[in-house]
Amino acid sequence: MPLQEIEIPLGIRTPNTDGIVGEAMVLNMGPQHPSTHGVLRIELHTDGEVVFEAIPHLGYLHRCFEKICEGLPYNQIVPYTDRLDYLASMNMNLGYVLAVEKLMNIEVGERVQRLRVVMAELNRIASHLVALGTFGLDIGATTPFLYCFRDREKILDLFEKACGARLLYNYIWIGGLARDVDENWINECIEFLDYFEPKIKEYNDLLSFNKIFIERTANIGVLPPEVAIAYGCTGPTLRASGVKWDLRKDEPYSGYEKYDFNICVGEGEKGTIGDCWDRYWVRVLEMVESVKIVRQALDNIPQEDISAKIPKNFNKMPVGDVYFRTETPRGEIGFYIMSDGTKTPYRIKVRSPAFCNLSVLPVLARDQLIADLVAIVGSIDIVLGEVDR
Amino acid sequence: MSQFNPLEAFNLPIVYWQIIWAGIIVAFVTVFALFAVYLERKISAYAQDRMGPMETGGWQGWAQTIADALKLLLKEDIIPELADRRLFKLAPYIVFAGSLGVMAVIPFGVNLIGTDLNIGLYFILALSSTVVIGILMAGWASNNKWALYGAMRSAAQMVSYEIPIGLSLMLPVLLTGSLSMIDITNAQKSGILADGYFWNWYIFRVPPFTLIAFILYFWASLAETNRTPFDIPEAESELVSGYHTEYTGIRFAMFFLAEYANMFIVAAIASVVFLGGPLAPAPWLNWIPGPIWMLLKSLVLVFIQMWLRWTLPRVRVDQLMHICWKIFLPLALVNFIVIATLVVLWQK
Amino acid sequence: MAEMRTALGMPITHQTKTSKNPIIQWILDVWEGFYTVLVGMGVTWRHFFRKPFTVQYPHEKLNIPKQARQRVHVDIDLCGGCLQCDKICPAGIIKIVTAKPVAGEDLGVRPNGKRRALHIAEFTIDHSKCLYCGLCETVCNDDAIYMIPDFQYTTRSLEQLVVNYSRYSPEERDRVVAAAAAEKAAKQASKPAVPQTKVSDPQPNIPSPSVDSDVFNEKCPGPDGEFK
Repeated sequence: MPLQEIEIPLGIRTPNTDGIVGEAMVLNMGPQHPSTHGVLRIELHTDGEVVFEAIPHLGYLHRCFEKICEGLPYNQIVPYTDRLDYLASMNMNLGYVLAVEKLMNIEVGERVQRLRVVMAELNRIASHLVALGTFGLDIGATTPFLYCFRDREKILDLFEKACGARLLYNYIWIGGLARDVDENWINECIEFLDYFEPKIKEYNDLLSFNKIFIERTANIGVLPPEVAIAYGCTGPTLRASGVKWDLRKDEPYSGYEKYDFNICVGEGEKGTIGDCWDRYWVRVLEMVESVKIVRQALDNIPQEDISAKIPKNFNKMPVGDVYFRTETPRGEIGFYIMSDGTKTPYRIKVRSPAFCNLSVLPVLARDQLIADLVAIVGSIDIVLGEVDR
Repeated sequence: MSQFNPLEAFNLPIVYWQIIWAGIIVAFVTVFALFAVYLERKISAYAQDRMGPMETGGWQGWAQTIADALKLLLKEDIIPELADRRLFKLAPYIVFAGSLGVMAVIPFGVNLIGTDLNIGLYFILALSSTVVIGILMAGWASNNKWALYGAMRSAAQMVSYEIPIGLSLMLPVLLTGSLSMIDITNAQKSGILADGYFWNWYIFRVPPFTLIAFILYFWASLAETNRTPFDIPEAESELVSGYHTEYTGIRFAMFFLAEYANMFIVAAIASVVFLGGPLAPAPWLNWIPGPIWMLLKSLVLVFIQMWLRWTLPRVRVDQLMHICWKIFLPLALVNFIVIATLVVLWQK
Repeated sequence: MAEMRTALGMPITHQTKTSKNPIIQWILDVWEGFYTVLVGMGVTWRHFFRKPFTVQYPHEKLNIPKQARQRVHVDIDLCGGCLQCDKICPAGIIKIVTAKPVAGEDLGVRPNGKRRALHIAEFTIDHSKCLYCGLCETVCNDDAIYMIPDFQYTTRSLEQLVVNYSRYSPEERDRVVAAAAAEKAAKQASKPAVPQTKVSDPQPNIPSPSVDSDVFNEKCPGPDGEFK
């Protein structure tokens, strides 16, 4: 559908109503504002409390990821992918590594695949917990934030035991994994899942079904599916609009086709399909699905050498280019890698989900109140490390 | 003990007594604010599986707020270059004075009161409305857009919530037939069944109407004191810090003090008007002095205020108005009319 | 999906109760607001009596697993000077200067039984730029460079984070490098001639360590070690 057709009808474009000539107030929200999730700067043109134009300004966290990669051998890029989306580093590692493996035609074993899925899904839970908590914080509820971080801490402990790092893992390597996990770790992981599942009800009691929270988020920032698709939104932001699109199901990678899980879509239970509450609720449901996937992946996990397929060097790379996309907690990350046969890539381009999701903000923010804008920014769950790269 | 009358006991002229009482009140409010900040930190910490301040002063970090207060006093006093200096400096005092003045008519014992005005409750409502002027001044003078937003929101909110507060407080006034705080307190001593028991308090007097009035007053007072879920004037995730964004050091401390003083004041009003104030819940508990009951009841209400703050999200500015005009006001009006009718019928 | 939602505490229907009558709907809304507030207060009330999740950090510490990657450490006695870690480091923070021993000089045996073939004249790591990726650890053939769970190495300046792990002082480094260069030059100059004519006096190869920062001493404090 062409963009012109889905242009949202605009209400107040200028604060000139009823013959009273007003003046737009330009508000600078960020980069030091408490609820811009990092260093996003939003230029707000407001009429009283109503925002009639919101322009995001990016680049405060630009670290030249793509350029740095051109000078590094393939295996040394993995630690840098950690820094893209620092709340879901495992998923970033996985996306890049799968792209390189596609380039090099490496098939990894069953255990490696399963452990990768376990790590990616655990990290998805951790990332969604941050999204939930900070969204609650944006709405004004402080306590769910702390509860979410408490449970995320347990996941980080698991990661620390598995790979030694809490945030920037460098765990999933080209052709394998950095370290293997032992039986003890698997038991601890299952223990965590048993602990975590009842906790979701606690978040729901405290936040999800609270009337004030529902009033604040339902029917706010409604993202119609056509707009979401036109702007390239992916992940929970797209699924909340009712579009059943999940790469784990639609283009399975790393053995996702073997697991039984649902794609969670927004159903407009508290308001309209695609509102802030739906985006929040899809994340809650996805955490439940992730728990299911982790349980299945850990069930009867085979024993094998996890480092058998790790290439010794990258001197003889196939020439050509490759694009691979995976589903991260924020949506679809795509790594486009051009190889000229040397050990460093010729060019790497990252299609980052948070960047595309953020691009829809000006549409969503039109004619909303400032308080709603905060809710919208929180509900699309951006990580500036990935937006700016 | 609750019959203790300082005027008779010390044989003081009333002016001296009032000056002494003013000093006691200022000291009390300051100490209470320090204590309440500490309490708030501890409550939020335990609600969130944390520990709160643990280091400063040794046991449970009891000296943390004292250290913070000292830090605030020693901080550089920054006035933005383009601020309206006179208003900027004046605003905290108006807010603080407006909050503190209310304390004059709050009885801590049956005779322990700054001044027993015959228009006590009206005085409270009138004086607490002046706080909004100070907040508007602060927001405007800061020359900061976020502060201005906070001030505008605050003005709208406080003016609107005066109405349900006023209507709810009118119920005990109707039942007593007096605006004096002492009269309202004494009227709760006797009534239905045996005298001196808690069921004579106005909250239980005409169920369920007075109970609803109490709940309405309590919720509306949260808006009056800018507390969650109605803390939109200083909503930190939207407006950075609201009307006191640009304030530092001692002026910020004044706002802070006023906020916590306000918390106590609305709780104290609620406990005097609805919960019998300094009255003991049963005659055999009369040996505990009135001020302690008064403090206890107020502290329980302050605790609930904090408990709510660390549980609930924040409402939006239009929803705040919606709650005020479409939920609280009709309920308060219905309550008021029913009680007024009952009072008229009963008097006939 | 339905069972899952009930398990999550969510009513299956659109709303708990709806009514066509606006007044009844108003009452239901008010009641729902009041009720959900009470439910939320119940959750926080239960938490008042739970054991805190946090710990008082400097007094009590969590157990950090042995494999935690908090700092790079170099066991310089084991290092063979193969430069693999220097090559793999994505941030390029490792600087190693090696020098061949001059003829007749025996550097002894490393603790792992291998012969020491090179002077490790300098082994500098700039900890302030470390990515904590642990790649250096995986490429080292001698287990000389590895990550340890020591996270308490704050210093007052960035310069103090540049640590030379070598046992050679700067003067000795210059000397061994110069000696090696001189011998190489001499070798090239007298290529046809019989090599190894120049004999340099043997030096004791274990000088005092040049690591001056207290934090980076050889002994790792470990997870339950005290902060120095």
